[in-house]
Amino acid sequence: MLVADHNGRIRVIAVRTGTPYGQPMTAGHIYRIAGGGARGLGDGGPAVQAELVHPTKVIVARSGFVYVADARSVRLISP
Amino acid sequence: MISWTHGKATRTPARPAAMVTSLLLTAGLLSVTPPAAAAPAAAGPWKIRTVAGGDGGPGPALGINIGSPCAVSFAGGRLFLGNNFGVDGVLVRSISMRTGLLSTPAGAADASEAGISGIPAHDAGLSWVCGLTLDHAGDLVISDGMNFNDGSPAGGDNVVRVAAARSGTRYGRPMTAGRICTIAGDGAIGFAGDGGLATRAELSGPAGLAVDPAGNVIVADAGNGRVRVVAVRTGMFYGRPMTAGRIYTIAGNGTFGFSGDGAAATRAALAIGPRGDGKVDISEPWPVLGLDRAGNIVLADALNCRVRVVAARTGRFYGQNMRADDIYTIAGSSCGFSGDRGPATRARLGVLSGVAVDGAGNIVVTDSGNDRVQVVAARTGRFYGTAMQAGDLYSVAGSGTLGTAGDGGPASRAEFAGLGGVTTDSAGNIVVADGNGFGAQGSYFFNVRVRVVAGGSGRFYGQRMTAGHIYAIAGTLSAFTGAGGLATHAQVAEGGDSDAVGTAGVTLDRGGNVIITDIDDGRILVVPARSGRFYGVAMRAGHIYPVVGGGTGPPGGGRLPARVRLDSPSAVATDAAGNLLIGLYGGHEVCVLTARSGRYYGRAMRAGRIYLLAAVTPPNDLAVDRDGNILVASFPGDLVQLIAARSGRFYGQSMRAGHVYAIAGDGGILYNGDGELATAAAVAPMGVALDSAGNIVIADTVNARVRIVPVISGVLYGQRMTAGHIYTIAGAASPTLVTAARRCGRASGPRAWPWTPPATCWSLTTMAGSASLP
Repeated sequence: MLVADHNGRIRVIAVRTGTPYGQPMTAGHIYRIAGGGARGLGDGGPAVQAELVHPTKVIVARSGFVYVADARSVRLISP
Repeated sequence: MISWTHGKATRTPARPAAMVTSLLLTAGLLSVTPPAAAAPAAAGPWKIRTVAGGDGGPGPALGINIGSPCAVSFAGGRLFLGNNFGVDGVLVRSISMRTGLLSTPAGAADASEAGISGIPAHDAGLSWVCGLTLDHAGDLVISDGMNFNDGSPAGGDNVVRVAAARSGTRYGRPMTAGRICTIAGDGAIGFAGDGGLATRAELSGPAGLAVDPAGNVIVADAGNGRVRVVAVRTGMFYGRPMTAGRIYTIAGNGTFGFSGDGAAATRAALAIGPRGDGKVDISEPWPVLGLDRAGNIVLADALNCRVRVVAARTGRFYGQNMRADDIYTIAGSSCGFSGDRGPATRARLGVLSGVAVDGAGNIVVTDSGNDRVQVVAARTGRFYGTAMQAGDLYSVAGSGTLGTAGDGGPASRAEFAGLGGVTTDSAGNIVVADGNGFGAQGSYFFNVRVRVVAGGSGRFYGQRMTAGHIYAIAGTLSAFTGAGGLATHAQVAEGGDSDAVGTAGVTLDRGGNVIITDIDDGRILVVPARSGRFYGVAMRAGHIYPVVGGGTGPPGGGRLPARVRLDSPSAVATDAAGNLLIGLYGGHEVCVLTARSGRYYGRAMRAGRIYLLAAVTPPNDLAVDRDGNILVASFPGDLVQLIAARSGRFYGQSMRAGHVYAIAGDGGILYNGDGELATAAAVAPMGVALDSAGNIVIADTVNARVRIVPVISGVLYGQRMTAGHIYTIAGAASPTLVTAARRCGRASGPRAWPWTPPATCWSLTTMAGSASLP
């Protein structure tokens, strides 16, 4: 389950233990997968180091990739 | 299995038995069924990139929203301007005089790393740009002033920065090509540091900039009412020894007023900036300055309605004997208007917002008080189509009427709506910023353009121009630009920064096309995954197309999608039939764009048309459940509502097709406990989604929780739950999860919207939207 929060982060509530989104996760815990960086928008770089402006909606494609409505753009989080 | 209402054998949404079993067996763990398409477990961190929306361009400047251009300056064959308060925040734009194509050499939309040196210029956050120039090394010098909140200064960078053209040491600072470096100001607002390192000095809203013949940077320090200089190298300048990288005052005594003509410029009272109280208001003009060919500093003493000159050396300039480093008035006597002929020193001018020196040495001012562009002739001759006498004042553009008309016609008949900065280009054209919000009549205008008064006839900025006529070369009022172009070159305004207004929506349709709500401009945009015809429009992959909105009709009645006006579209979703559902935050409605003709939501509909489905409280998010019902998250409104796809019994309620039902929320917002009936609980739903078992997931924003309304009773997400009741699965109430939620005051019962929560609520970690894995 993914949540966009108003601190500019996309967080995942892990439903099972594993390594989704390139990070080890334990079921029932919450993890940041994008945003929270403070050095620019970080396009092309690691999602966890990027800055999100004002994420308001997060969706998951059939591919598992994540799309975020981020203020004035749509951003794609992918491996 | 316990169904939705206690003990009664009521209908629950159909689901495979295996899925139910897995839910019931996963007691003690989060109980969402593993998604059918789990996220790929690739090694290494996931990356992020933008797929739609950007700063605008590169592309033709006339079709790009440039906000309110304050500074304009011409250097190296290009026009530079500060893009303030646009849809993209604060940027430095650059436009080719030959082609009219725009690029963005510095600034990043909404980037937060204010004031940091050493980062790439295109990643730098800027707060307010009202001064731009190129120095002798080719560096772009930027006055990165203070930003504003409702007209009041709200901090900001308050520094002068350089985007370095090449690596080396300048202003006593090591610089790397392409990176940004602060050369003056420590960020604190005040007046301090003269004679010391410029980067340790206090400024008060740096604005107009110029580079003198020696290469020193001259800056109009708005709130301090002074002109200061940052020495580029050690030497004797302005009658005194200066050290590279240090800052000095060369004009202004800090007193707001008018005095000092004929004496040392540093003892003169100026009114270059607002009030002189250190507080800078957006509605007041910003100080600007220029340099003439003799190196004299030409200053728009804005609120004194005068042009003043600080003499670079002793000699005769502008018909007056001047002494080096003294100050003189060369145009304006008092504020007003006295016609557009006669000696400049006796003329009355309005509040000035820009000054420049053209190639012939004439002084060009933007007289925002009179909505005219005026010229003080340096010598007798014919300039801008008018025979001029040395020292006299002439109006070369503007009828004196506030307005927006005139592009393509004679400049003398043009209307302006709040003139800003002015510069002259190498072809002899006058370039002005128009409609930057500084309207002298106390009004704000959004005539946000850069306009050119052609000095000669020819092709400039990609347009054919006639001498003496005026042309718009950059800017548009539209918040959405770049239709049909690459999606990453488009400007997509998706709502403001305020948490209190509607959110932006994005979804994917069944073809994998990205659907975006353009909340400001009232459109639905599509970025197709592959080329083809979608929503009635031929599209190229990765390009962006409006498919709904831009018309004037109400969003219903079977109208064509381009004929309707969408009032703040904030959410999109697709239903099982492929129809596009649109939530209108401003219109308090949900409408549909049909994919095929058929009967939907209880009504017969034609393909490719817009129908109004329901009036709801302001929608922030939409989701479609397995029965095809539409769930609407509303905040404010504080409800999750349902629009029934067909008549039947859903979530324990008998429903009629196309009717609206509340399924969570009691109209209050402040958390009042879990475990009760969802319709009796207070929620602030910014987002709604369905998990893979069909349970309703709510992003409860003010309460900073993720909450769930289960459709079956059992152990879900590690908790025993009853169908139709509400539970927190992430947030403060759940000790196994990491959150930062805090309580926010006491419940206050039902209230009207729109509503602004108390400030204490605003620091909460709030959640903007949620989605379950597919």
